[in-house]
Amino acid sequence: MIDIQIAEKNRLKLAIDILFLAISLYGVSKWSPKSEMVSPFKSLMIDITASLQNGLNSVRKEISSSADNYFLNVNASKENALLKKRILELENDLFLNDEVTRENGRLKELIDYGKEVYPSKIISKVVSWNSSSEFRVLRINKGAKDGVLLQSPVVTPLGLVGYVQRLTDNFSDVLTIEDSNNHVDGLLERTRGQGILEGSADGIISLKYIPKSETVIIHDLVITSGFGNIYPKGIKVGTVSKIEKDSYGVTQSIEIKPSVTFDKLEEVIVLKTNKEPQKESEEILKGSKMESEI
Amino acid sequence: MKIPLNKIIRPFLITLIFLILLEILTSSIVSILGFSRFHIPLNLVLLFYLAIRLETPFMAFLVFIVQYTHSFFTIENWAVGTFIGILICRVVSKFRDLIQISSYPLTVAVMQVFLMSWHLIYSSFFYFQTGGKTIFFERFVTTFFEGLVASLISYHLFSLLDRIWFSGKEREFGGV
Repeated sequence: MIDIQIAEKNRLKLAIDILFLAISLYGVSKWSPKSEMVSPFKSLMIDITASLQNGLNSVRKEISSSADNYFLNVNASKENALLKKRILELENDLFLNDEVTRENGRLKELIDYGKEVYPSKIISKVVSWNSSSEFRVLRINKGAKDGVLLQSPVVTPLGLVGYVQRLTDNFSDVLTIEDSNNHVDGLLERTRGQGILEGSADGIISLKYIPKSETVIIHDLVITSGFGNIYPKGIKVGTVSKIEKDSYGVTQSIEIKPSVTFDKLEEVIVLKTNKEPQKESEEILKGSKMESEI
Repeated sequence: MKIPLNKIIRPFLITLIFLILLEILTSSIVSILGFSRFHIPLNLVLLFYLAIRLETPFMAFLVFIVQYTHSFFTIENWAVGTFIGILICRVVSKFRDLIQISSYPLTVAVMQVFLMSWHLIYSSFFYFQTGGKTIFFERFVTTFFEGLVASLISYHLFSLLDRIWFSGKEREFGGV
């Protein structure tokens, strides 16, 4: 009797395993790292969890600001007990003002960036990084409600960051150019030689398919070529940091040092493309239905 | 340990909330502190725990839910994780009696083997999907150290999860 029960349980386990293996294989076949349409449920869950990430981020900044402030003032407090309070207050104000000035400066730079070229842009803050180190993706606090579209290019005044890979109402995931799934059509500014920029799992960006005959030198500037239908032409990507010419093959291997310091990103600009939001929403809806079917 | 379905739901929900909180912490705080390239694979630690501790026919469903929850925080495809998770959990459940996680060093060693096996299968899957041959080597060092951190904290995480899943008597019976 017990044997029959165990056999039945094993059969049930096998059936459930096969069912979910089949579902996941179907999911694998439908998935693309280039862009992801999220279901309404997933969108809601991402919004909720990203809000918590955002809140935590703000708390961390507050704590860090207070801690910095304390360390700045600890020496002054030793000098004079009477002045201590006053100095603390003044330095606190100064520090906060400095922070505000710096933030204002950064934001002004962002607003002024490409005023003529990109009339419509959305400034947003980095909330968190992707929770898996295979991917170089960051989450920003602007989404579909703010006018962000799927595959909108994301930049800073220093250069290209990536594009919007996944989108919810209030948050977006940006696939950075350091990610191996992000391929950017690049152009050497000096020689006009054209190649493909590719990230890798270890974060190195390579410029591929540049012929050996092309004279590339260290510190050559690389910009976007405008091909590929995602990035506008002329955005700075980085500079050439390493060139290797093998004895075989017709191309040279070039490494690029990105203009943007990804580890220190705090604010970014989402450039609004000319795609119609209506059409985009329909695509998202279509994608959501597909995911619901899965 | 065999657990009836009605006893799974509540601890599993608590475990999921626990996973979400840990994911939020690691993806926002840890990355902002300058470790944006370093992520502890907490979802995999959790999957290993479920595979080794629970004997339920619904394991595939639990793996799916864990991986789907993890996908709120990453663009990683839940389907790949679910597929690999189900296969590995089947292997782990087959060798459950042989796998010892009763002491700290054993837990660390077993966990590290599990995580590196996951990386190997994931890289193979990636190769079949995209043709990328180098990801296993490119990511080996990072994965090793991420796995090591996960392994080092896994014993304590397991003790915590045991408190969520089992009562005092059951924990004694399970040897924790």
